[in-house]
Amino acid sequence: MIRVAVTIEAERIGKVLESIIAAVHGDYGVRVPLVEHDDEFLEIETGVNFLLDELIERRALNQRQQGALGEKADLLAAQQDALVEALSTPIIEVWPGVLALPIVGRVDEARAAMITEKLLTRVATSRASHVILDLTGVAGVATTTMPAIVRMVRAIGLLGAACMLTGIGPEVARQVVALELDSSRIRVLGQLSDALALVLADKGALRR
Amino acid sequence: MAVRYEEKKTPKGFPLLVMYVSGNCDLEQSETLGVRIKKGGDFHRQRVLVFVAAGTEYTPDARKYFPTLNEDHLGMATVVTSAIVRAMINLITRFAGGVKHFKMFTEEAPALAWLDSLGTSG
Repeated sequence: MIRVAVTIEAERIGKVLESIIAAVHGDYGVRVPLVEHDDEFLEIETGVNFLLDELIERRALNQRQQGALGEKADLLAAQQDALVEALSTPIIEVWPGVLALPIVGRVDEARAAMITEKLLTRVATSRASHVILDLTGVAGVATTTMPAIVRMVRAIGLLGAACMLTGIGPEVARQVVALELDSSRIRVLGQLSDALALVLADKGALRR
Repeated sequence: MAVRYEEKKTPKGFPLLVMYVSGNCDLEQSETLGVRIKKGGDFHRQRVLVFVAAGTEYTPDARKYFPTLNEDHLGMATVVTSAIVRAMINLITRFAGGVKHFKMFTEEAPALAWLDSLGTSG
């Protein structure tokens, strides 16, 4: 193997280093100026420029992929929001004039406001006499959950409907006590079926 | 125009596709060679002589395309006078892991002699 010693001007090496340093900082536009030197270092200079081209292409590809992923994420988020909203307020008319709303998951201020709005509208349009709020599925309780539910019950009462809470678990019960909420005006029953039996009995008495 | 072709014969009378490349050569222009030499093309597995002018640039996708034509010609001689272009083509072949039946020259006569020295096609 023949070894050939080639002397490279410091300026050429400096230009290559400038390009590499700029690329490290994300600037792929600092290309190595190419001059017709017929030596092997020219391949290194050209190779650096090729590498910069590849980096530019891959960054553009990454940006396109990120954009596509962002669009998908936005779409999924919108679909999830729509699903959550639909599942958040499954108001069921279990008997004429009797509405039941099983609440699942956490209830924060925003969700409580949304549920209240939908529930009040439904109470008014269906002229409901009874509303059963079933909290069996309320797992995590935000500090604002019970006050929000109590406000919901009061608002329903103002529309002339009786409101009952069912399925209160130990954690929710502890929070009601800890928050010293006035629950004396809220009718609480063990299970949804208990509330339904009570309401139907009320309605039967009314018919008599 | 960055790419143009001529159909000629080598000194020994073999069919020869001559390609002239200059300016900025992109993938679309590179693919015109593929049309001529890939299976079904009029110069499939024939000799190709390429003149690449000084100042020619290949786009990144064109750089990756040329080595894929390796098996579609009998031999490709490239005449290059610019050291910069020679360095580019050297890198293109190196990045492709080496290219068979390919040689670079600085003059046309030895390029034609090399093409004539290759075995006959098909």
